[in-house]
Amino acid sequence: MAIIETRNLIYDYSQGTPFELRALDDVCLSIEEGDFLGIIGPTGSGKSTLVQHLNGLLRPVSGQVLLEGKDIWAEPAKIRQVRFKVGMMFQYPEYQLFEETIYKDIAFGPKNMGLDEDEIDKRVREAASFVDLPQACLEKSPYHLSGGEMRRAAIAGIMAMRPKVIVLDEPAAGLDPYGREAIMGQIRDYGKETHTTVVIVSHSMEEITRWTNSVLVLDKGRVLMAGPTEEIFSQAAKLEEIGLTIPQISKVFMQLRAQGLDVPANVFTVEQAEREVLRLLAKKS
Amino acid sequence: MISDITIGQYFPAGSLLHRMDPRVKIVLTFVYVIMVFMAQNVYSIILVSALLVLMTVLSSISFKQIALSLKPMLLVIIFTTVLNLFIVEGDYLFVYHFLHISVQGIQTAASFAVRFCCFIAGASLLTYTTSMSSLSDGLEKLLMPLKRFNVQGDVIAMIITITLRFIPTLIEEIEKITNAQKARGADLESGGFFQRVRAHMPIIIPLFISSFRRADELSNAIECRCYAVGKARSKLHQLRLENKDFAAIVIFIVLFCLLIFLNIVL
Repeated sequence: MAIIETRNLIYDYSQGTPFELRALDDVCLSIEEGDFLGIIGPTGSGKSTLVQHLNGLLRPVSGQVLLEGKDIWAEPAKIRQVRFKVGMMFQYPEYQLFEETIYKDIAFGPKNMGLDEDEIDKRVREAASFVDLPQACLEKSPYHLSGGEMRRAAIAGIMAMRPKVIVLDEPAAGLDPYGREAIMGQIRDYGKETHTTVVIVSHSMEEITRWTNSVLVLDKGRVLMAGPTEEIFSQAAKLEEIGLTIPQISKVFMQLRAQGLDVPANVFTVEQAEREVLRLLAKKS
Repeated sequence: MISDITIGQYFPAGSLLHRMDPRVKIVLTFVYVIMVFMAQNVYSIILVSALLVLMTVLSSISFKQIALSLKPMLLVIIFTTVLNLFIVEGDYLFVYHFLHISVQGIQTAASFAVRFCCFIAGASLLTYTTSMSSLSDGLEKLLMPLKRFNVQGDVIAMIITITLRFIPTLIEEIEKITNAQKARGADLESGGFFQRVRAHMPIIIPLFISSFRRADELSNAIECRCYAVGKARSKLHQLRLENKDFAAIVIFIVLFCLLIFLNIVL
């Protein structure tokens, strides 16, 4: 069943002023429990605005946001509770670390939830292990960690709240290729093990095709396309029209096909490419 | 949103006042304020008021906007006017127990109210017609003679410029950090004063850290472009006194003398 839905969501910035701007126009989306959704779109398409509605940081001008079937704004005074169920991490989250030790910083979320010491301890250690943060790191100050470690600590801070949905805005931004691979792998494994629904916003098409199973494409505040990842990325022309692109490897295979080689059109990852090339070579010999 | 604040409230336009040299504007504003305080009788008050009207007309700032500049001080103006009204002794027009209103009271109250308004409006005209970078340039040039007393005008101007430039950045950062901590369940609204202050620590600490980091990065960046404190720098826009500046200075000198004359004679 759909764990998060938005119905006819409309949001305007600077409402009532001469600078009024419609950021989201009639956005309807539905995320199934356990999905790994990727949200893509050109700059200014409303991705950040949309995700901030999912945990109640922004309130729709009209339309609804439903969590587990219930309108999150039914009781506005209790909106904080929604944020414990829909955990969200912004870009470059290492700049939000503020506590004396990593342990305390990861514990910030659970503490706000009102959990007791033992439960908090359990969750902090569990979250740290999900992101491969050694226990020794927990007692260090955030400012003694490397950028990648700080990033993982920030993600752990969200995971420690055990939200039903975890929303990440460019979780791998600014990391080296190994770092990117590691962190996305940790997120995917976390999602699978804990049955958490994952939503990521990303500008990397390679990342989206590699990790997600479902994609939402936004353009100028409207939903352009939504559906399974393969389906979305097989429509290269439509994506290119709005300024997006398809993974490099897909372009290569499209060109191979144009040259007359018998390869499938929907190749999106390098692993897939390797298999197809080997298969083709095997056939030839 | 907080980011709608316009620091210094500069209204760009091409009026005469806008195009005057900022040094002249700063000094003459200063002189104007002195004139306002020196105005003791009706005629001199009319003089400074007329001068304000003249400056407003030459600035293409609407009178409505000038009136709006008085808004923040409205309470002060009303309070002191009322105070003057009832405190000043003299020829009583109205007595009720210990409350009395005298002719002199009315005069003093009116005189004070008008002069205070002129003072505020005059100062506002300066910021309305001069951009922050112009003001900073003008201030820097004016402070140059104080170098012999170790007052480093160019450093002060640099500090002002950098501070103002980073205010919007800081505001944006506050919003970002606030959202990030709210997303982890930070409760910034409930509780008494002290509880709310403590609840803001997750915002204040990262803000301080990032400000220090930014200061570090910025100083590296400007050093890479050969900035050094104390070394002479040239400017893209040279400040030059023009005819309109000289005219303004002469007019002010004349009016200042007239004011002294009015004060002595009447």
